[in-house]
Amino acid sequence: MKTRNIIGLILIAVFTAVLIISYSNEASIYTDFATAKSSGNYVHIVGKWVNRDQSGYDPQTGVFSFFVQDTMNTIQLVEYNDPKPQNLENADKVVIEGKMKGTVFVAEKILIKCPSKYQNNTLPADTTYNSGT
Amino acid sequence: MDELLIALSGGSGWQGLLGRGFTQLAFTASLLSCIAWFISLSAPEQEKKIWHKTGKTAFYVHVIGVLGIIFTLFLLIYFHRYEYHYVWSHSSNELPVHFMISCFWEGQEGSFLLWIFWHCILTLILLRFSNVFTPSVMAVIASVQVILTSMLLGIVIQPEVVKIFLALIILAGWYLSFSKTDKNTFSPFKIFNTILAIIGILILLLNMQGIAGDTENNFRIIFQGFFWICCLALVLGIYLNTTKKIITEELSVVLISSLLLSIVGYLLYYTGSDWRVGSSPFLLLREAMPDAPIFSNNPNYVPENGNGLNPLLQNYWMVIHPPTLFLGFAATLIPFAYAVSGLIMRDYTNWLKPVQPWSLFAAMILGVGIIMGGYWAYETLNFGGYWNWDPVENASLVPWLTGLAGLHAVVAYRQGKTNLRFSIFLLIITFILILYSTFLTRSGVLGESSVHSFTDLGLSGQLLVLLLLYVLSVSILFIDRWNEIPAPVKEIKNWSREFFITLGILVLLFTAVQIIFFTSSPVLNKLFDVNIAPKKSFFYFKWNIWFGLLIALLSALGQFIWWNKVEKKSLVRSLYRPFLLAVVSAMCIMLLLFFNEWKFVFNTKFNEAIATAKSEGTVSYIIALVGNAILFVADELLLLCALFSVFCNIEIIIKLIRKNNSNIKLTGGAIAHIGFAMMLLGILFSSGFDSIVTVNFTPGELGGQFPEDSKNDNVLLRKNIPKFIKGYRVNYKGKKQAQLPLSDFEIIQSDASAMKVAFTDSDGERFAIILPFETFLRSESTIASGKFPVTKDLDTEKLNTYITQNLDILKPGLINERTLYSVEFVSLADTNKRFVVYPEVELNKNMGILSHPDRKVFLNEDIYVHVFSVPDPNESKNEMVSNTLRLGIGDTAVFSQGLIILDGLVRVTDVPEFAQYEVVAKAKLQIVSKGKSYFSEPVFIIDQQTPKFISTFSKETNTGFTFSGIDVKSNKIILQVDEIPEPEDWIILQALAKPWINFVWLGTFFLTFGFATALYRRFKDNNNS
Repeated sequence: MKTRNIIGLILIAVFTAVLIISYSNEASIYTDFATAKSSGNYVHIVGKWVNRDQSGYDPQTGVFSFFVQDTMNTIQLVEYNDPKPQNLENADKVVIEGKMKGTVFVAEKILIKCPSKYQNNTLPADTTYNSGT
Repeated sequence: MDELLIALSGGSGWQGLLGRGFTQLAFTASLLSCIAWFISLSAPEQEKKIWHKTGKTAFYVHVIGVLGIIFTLFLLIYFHRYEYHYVWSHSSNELPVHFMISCFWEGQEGSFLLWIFWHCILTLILLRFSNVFTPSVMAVIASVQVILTSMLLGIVIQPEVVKIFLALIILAGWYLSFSKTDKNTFSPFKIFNTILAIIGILILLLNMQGIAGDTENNFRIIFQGFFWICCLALVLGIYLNTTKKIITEELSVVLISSLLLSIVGYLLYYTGSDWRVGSSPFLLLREAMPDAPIFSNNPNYVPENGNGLNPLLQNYWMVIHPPTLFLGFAATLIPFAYAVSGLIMRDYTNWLKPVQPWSLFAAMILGVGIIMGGYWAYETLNFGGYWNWDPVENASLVPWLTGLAGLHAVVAYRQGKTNLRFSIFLLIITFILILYSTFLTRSGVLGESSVHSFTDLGLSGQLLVLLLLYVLSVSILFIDRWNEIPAPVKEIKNWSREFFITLGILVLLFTAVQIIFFTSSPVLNKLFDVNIAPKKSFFYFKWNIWFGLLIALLSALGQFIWWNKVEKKSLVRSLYRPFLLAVVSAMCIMLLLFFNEWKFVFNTKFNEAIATAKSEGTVSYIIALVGNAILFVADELLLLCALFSVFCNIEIIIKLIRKNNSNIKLTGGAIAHIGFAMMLLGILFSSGFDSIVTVNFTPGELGGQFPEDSKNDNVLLRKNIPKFIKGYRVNYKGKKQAQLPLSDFEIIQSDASAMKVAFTDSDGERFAIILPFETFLRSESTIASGKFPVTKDLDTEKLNTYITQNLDILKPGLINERTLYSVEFVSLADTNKRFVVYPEVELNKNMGILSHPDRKVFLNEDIYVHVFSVPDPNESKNEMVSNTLRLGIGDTAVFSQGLIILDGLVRVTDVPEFAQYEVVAKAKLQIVSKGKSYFSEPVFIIDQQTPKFISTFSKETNTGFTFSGIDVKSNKIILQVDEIPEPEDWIILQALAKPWINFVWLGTFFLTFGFATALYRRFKDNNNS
């Protein structure tokens, strides 16, 4: 085998190793509030927006605070340093990314998952108007 | 004509039947075509012609079927037939015709249709220039068409039938592995297959009787098992084949049986109930939602209006971006088909010449399509840029990278007879990656990690089968033919041009591998049962900055050596000029940056990271410092390499034009490379040096929960109260109103009593207003009973006069619940530099608040502005606020809209009506508001010891004044001020500066132009020979 090929193989091996290490090392994982609290790390949490009437955006402080219920059914106060994201109302699931700071979860990013992209597949419940053929 | 079409499309659901008929026709014809072309490959010479004819005719019929589907679906959308689910979901009465086309790509079925359509068009072009490879190429293409049209079939198969079918496949796979191979040879696969078959049948039996327990989990385990066994089988197969331990035919039989079994495993995992093949766009609403309560009351219910097209898609770019991208996707099929035919026909070299223009075309169109998507995102979405490293974006970028690598490999082979295996591999993998990206975006697997993926339509199983089918069958074919593919005649010499081009291909390939690996995290999570979250933009940036600089360097060196045939010794000597130019200009740019206070790339990100690391201890602090220093060096190197590439390629162009008597045809490659380097520069500047303009300078505004170093990136702007932000004074001037004169009146909606009229103002914006019919309809126009007025019934002149005169009172809003906010920026450095931007907010009934950015384009940067939040219109308060003031003569008091001055107090004696009262006093008030003075004189009366008041109301300030008494002790009047507060009008604004973003667009232009030049040259070459 030529030196060139050996160098190439070594480079590929190093590349693969770095790839896998950085994939799992720098990765933040999906978890729940309990783990976020105990570890204090930057995490992703999948949950639902609950207690909607108690959430609100304060334009003076620029903070949107709301409650999220994670998959373990823990309800947690979450603060977000930006206004309420668009179409949060329609989301059946939210993914929040951030850290626990004391008793508050400070979200850096909110990802919204709508039931079926845009379409709200609902039809009116009764047939007062009939335009059928 | 309209009436005729309406009459044609009237009646019951026959259009749906027609559409389904066309779908079945397209499917069957493609199947027939595929079979005919495949048979023709092994048919005896005299029969070949008849099979070719059959295949060709069947394909034409397939094209007719596809056009029929598109035409039928378009008519259904055009005539608003909401009894069809697809039409109801994606269109509405208000939709203009040019956006009706966009309905095709909002839904999955429609975008499959678009993809199939482009395959048809490209194949027709291919047939026009047919050559020796046509039969095998057509066979491959037709097989893809069979599978794609099956996605539109929408056939439901009962679970019992599915299970029997699965059992048959299992048995067939098991039988195959024994019957077709030598019975005496020992093969580990045989044992695998036997065990798998037994488990498969057992599970099926258990599942049939419903005693499998936690079935989903069992299926998951089995699926994983099958998957790994299949991978293992492949690896073993490659090993055994390369060492020639077993004969290849036996290997392929065994591998095919493993493939069948693993597909069964997958289907077992996903077969809960019915097995659906495809999803038809001609499904009736009641078929799609049989459980909706409305259908139990009224089975014939048809909604009056559709759900409407996603407002984000109602954009100019969204009419042309998806077709372009899909054309790019479709174009990768042709090189794939050629490469596979090369393998099938055992002709490994002759297909490379016809494939080259196709490969160029695919790379060009796919590149343009991707950038168009980025431009659309930049213009209409609010995530703040053109590229977000979103999985959907990455999934289209990766095949482009491999396609580019494949293109270079083909060029390298045609010049130096190297990289043949590489060429075949890359052209194949490009199409496989297109399939993979389709799977990623359409199977719903991306779910939580992407903003704009489709949701699962139940096609994920079918998509995975499609993907695995092509991956495995082509891999088997490739492994089988591996040893036959001619190896390079001579070794690639170090530092030769082949050496550099191979390096370039490898770098492109590794870039692709790395991006697709990180992007696949949702898939890897499912496979390995872990939960690693998707990567962020910055993570991708850190990785790809290295690849970017390598690509830039190689695109300079490779091209230079390619054309100059330089030897290793003279390399340094001939490269000194572009290198020197690059170093000098990089230095200049860095100095400029330094003096412009741009500091260095990702300054804020670095500072954050360093601050966090500092709190964690000395070691991590040092690591963070070193890491950031390395990244800083990488940025500067990227700058240097990109500039080097630009100068190198300019030199090549100059030389080529001189040498070849201004023959521009040859310069395509160099132009494309310049374009690529410019894009890299644009990307580095616009995302590395982008800065937030709306830095909140008043930390007191921030909430207590946030650490001191966390800055708020948005500012709150109240109407007409300017704020100072970085480099600008910014003022929110209110919502944009219609500007006179008005034109293009049109009734867009009407019912029994009112109509909605749309018109265009002088700025070209469309506004809408609801008006009653009276006086605005032409007197001579008679409206038949039961019909509503249409545009031609309007008395436009009267309407125009009315709206023009009453514009301030009517305040018509923009069409589609949109609002434009007018925000003025005045530069602090140069007050002549002032501009107004109009970011837009749309209150959509389905999606809530949607914010669309606006931007001011300067030569050196874009100011990119969007409104983050506005007051909720449902929460505006209209309650009266009362305030009691005590004023002496000459006193001034403050109220919410300005000042109140008590000028004097007059006893009224000369008014006869007041003569009967004991005391009549008048307060002379001066109200100063918004730079104007108003006067108001409320009256206080004492009638038989009882106080009475005559209040006044100031219209200008919406405030009422009541003189309610006199405080004798302090000699002051008691004044009650009742305000009806104006609805709150504020916006939360974010503005970003994106320096040199124009380089990205300019680079794209050069890249495309370079591709087009090269394409023209190859096309000419192919025609001349």
